[in-house]
Amino acid sequence: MITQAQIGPKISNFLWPSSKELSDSSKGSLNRLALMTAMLSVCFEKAGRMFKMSGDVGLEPVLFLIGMFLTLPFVLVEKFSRIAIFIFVLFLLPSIFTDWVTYANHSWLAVWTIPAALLFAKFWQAPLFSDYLRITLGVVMLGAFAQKILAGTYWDGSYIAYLSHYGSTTENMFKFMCSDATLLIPCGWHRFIGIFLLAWQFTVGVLLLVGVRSLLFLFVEISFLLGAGLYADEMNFQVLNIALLCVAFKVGMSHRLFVICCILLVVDMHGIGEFIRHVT
Amino acid sequence: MLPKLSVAKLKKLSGRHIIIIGLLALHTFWIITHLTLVSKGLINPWKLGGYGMYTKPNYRAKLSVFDISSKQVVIPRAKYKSSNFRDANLRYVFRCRQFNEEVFLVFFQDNPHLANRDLRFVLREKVFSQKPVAVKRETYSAAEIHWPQKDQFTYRGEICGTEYSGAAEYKPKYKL
Repeated sequence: MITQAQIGPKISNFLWPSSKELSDSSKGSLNRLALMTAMLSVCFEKAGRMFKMSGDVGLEPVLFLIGMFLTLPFVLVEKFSRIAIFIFVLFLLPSIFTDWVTYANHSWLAVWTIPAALLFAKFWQAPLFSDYLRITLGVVMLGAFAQKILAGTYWDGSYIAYLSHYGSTTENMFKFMCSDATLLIPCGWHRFIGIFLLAWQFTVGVLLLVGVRSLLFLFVEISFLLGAGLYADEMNFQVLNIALLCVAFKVGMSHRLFVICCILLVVDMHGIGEFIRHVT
Repeated sequence: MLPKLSVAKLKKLSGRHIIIIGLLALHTFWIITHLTLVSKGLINPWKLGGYGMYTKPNYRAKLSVFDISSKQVVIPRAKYKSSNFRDANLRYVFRCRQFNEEVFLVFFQDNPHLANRDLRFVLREKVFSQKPVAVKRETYSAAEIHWPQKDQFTYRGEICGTEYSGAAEYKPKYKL
């Protein structure tokens, strides 16, 4: 019989080289790459908002955004990593104060997580920082689960039925499963998807809180996040989550995964739906 | 296994530990508070960092303004500016936040041509129904402005079932 221990490393080797093969300095650089990717997602989110704004954005936010982008390469350099994060946070602060009402929920997640790295001279060597990220992400998962339970729109599948009929291009992906009668009473498949999403979010939240750090779990969670991002046409938040998970699991981000994340961030600027419409 | 906490262990905590625990406690407290405010219909679940996006369609409240000087006539959207009014109302994220004289003065500062005209402000938001699954826009707030004297207005409105009223003087060059 094949055990999880045998399957796990094989699947996850695609994204993460075995930790035994890596020196401490390599592990450190992969962790810095992961945090830099999280910061990159914040930059892309801000850039996307600026492009979508029809009016004059003003020079100041643009300069601050350029400043944020310029700090990113220095996060990778061990000697300058902390000061680069500090300057990044300084550039980020004004937008928090001016846009706090419109700030997207995932931007708030970045605010809660990235500045905490400043508490440590070398965050990539600090178990307390990775534990902080792990617990924060666990709490966020349970918070999102509680919001869905409160809304009551996942238990009965009504939100999935709604998205399937009135959502964007990618949100329509489950429309084929049910007839239009799902709008009167959500069909079994839409109910199943709603309940599955609830169960998944709850399970991931609990596993993160109790400290499960299996690579297989990380691989499955990243796959799920990518799937959810594709469905909701919202990759920016998923890249932020993936990058933070990589630090929380102390494995860092491989170069392959970094390239995938960069591609997703670029595609997300216009939306996957737009990309699909353009290709087809 | 979760570590067992004891007084001795707590005393050994470093400043970093205390800050990290504080951040976690604060974040968790806010998530619970956000959840409570959403359950009472006071805020938009998509905003303010409570992770309630994709639970319902975004409310996206929209403003309509009517001229009620003689009979009620809708003022076309292109005939007035409302972006500063929306910002002054915190983009309607706090659903039950009442209009006050300051926000009306912001509106008239942007739209001096509408001063000294009786107006009705109506906010409509997307409401999600589960049976049948649908979304429609419904009015959830309305306020009327009357001008008993030139450059002096009174307002009366209702939002989330609560009535409010007030009066203010209009100064054409008012700045918030």
